[in-house]
Amino acid sequence: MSKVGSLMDLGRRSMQNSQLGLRTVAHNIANRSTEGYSRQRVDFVHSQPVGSQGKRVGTGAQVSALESVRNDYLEKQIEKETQKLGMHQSEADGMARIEQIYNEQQNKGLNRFVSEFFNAFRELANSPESLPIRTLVKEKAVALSEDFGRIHNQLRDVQKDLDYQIKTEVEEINAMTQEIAALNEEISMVELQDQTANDERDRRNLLLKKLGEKVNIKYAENDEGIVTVMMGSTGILVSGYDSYKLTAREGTGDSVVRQGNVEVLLHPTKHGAPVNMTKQITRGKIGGALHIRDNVIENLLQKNDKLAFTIANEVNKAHIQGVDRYSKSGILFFDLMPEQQDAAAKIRVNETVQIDPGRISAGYQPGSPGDNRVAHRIAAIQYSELFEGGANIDEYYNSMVGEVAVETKQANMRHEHHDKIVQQLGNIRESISGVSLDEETTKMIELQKAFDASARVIRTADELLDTVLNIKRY
Amino acid sequence: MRVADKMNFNQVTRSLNDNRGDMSKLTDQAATGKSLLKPSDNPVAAAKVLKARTSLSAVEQFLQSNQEAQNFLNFTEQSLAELTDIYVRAKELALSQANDPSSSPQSMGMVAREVGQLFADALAIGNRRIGDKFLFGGFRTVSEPFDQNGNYYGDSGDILMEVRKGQYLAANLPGSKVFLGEDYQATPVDGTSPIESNPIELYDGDSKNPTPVLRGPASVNNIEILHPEHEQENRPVSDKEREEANFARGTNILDVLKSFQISLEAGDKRGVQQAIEDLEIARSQVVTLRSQIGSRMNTVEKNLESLEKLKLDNRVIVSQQEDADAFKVYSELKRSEGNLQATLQTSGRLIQPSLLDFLS
Repeated sequence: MSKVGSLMDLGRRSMQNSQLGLRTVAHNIANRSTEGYSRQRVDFVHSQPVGSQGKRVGTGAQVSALESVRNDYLEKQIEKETQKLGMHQSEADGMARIEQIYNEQQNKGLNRFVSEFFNAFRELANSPESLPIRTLVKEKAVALSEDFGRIHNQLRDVQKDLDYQIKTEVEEINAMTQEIAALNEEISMVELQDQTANDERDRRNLLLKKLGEKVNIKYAENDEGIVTVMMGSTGILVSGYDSYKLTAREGTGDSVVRQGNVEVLLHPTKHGAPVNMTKQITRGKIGGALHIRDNVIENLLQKNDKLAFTIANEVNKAHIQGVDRYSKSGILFFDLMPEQQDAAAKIRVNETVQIDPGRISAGYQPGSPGDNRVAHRIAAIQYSELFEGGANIDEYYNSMVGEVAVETKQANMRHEHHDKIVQQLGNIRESISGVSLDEETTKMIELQKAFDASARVIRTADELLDTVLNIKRY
Repeated sequence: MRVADKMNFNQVTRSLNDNRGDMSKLTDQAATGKSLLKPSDNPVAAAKVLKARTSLSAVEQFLQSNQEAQNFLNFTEQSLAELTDIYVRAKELALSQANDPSSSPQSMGMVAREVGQLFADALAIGNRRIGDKFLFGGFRTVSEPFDQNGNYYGDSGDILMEVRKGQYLAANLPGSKVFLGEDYQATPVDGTSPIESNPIELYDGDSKNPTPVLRGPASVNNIEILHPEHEQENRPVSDKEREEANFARGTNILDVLKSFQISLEAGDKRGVQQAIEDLEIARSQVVTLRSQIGSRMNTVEKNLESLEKLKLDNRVIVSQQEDADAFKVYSELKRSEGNLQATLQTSGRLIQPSLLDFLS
């Protein structure tokens, strides 16, 4: 009797196993589009056989583990490449916007305003007596100074947008570190009971990748399954069950960034002083944004200032030596600027000249309306070797545009390149951990058949019992 | 290899994106006719275009300056031609009066009236205007350079025009040269030129008869090589040269005409004979200056020609670098259209079947 009963029991357990397998299949199918999900697999082993009549008979199968199919080393590699991808992506985005500011292909760029400004002086040299031409000179000068301002403002706008982006990213980072800390707790709780927290681990891996896309992090897992996440070289974001907040705040100008630009601070304790992490962030989207903002754009702003400052100074120097249309001695053409910093934003045509263009000097000699030597001298500034390496104004500006073009192209190429790498790694990951419907369907059929067969075993056992019970009748 | 479903979907999305990206870029190129839409499309080409554009805008300005100079020079040349005629006529009159034994005070008086008319004509030429500028006033272009008696109120300014990058050319002749004869053979511009401190090429570009217009540090070599007169300065001066130097001082041609008229009015035959020589000197002074103008006109004409060519060259560079090759763009567009269709079709096949489709 007991033997038939155990057969029934074996069938029951087998049916349970198949059901568990089917549930896993269902879970896999349900999660086949879930980001970061790794397919799960039920590991069956045969259960302990028992001895009977000197023979050991098997007792069916049991579930040894429910495991995720995942390559942890690959996950880490993806996370690392994602850091670079994030950086290159935000660099490429930033450069595309900067390039648009210097796009002389489609817009009338500063280059043409400079040419027109100096050509206006050549025009004045051709008719130094003329008042209308002086008005033209004034208008071209105003347009030139406005274009300097335009470039300055547009570059600053890109900086501000990057700041906004950094602020948003910081918010997202805080949400993610919080979730990672919570997952740390869950995982360690689950795994203390000798189970694997497959889904939680998937989620945590995904969060780590997303975090890496934003900033450069390093992380390590301890025996209890808890990860510690570090940003840069000193900033601890997650430790144990705790996460530490980042804040983005406008810089005061006394530190590493331009006044008003955002800095990233870490709050290691609730009430303690925050630590400035800006310089430690070198990768990820924020790293890329900081690079564009603090290196590329600052550099361009400076060059723009230098160009504006030099033109204003040189023109003033020549202009002040001349005499105007009324034979009064020359005045400043542009407002005097004491320093180069922000010269492009401050460059203005002298108010007096704006009100009366007749104050523009064309020659040196009083009472000689045909004297055009000052106009010539100012026009010649365009081709004077005013910058390092003997570059003139046009060459200096053109090389600036050239640098932007090359930098943009390279940023795009790096972005594309890393995109491909991450894509490739993602494919490998999918190949290992991804859900395949064909595979799941096959498994489903297999498990269904197993379930059917196990049920048949029970029915057979039942029939056996019936047979035994009916022996007496015959 | 194990192929998960997501791999298929990713692959499809990616190929479709790539294809659509290609298409959009090519459509852009076909629509604008340009292959260079952003500097980063081709940084090298963009730099070339930028340089050519900068150069183009300068060339256009220089073309305009040359045309302006040409107008000025043409008008000056014409005026000098008329002036020459006046002195030729005056000399004829002087010769006829000097050699005519039958000349009487009455006939001389008649001639004197004609000479007076010639003087007035010469004065009118001196006060001639181009547009609203006086041609012979030097820098004083807005007030009459001569009064009725032939006193000069202009100055000796040379109005320079930038006819090529860093090269200047005097477009005018000041009245002090033409009419007063003040260093009329000297180079057209004095040493206190405005661009003195700028290191640019400083002669007017006529290599046959170079006339240093400006003197700056960088042009020292040019002047030495191209201006042999400077080398001669240290040699002892011969009598003949001294004579020429005296001749070169020039003469006040209005005074010559005036004193000829006075001589005629006074019936002074000696004075009339003296006037023959003086008028010849005056005529040759005007002719000398006229030839100077002629050589400048040559320079301007050559400039106009070469600048037009430069303009064309720059246009060609711009077009070569940024214009799309229409044939190439359209054929590539066609090709990428085909690619897209193929991708869509294969994608449909790739995604469609799964084992589920075969289970009933």
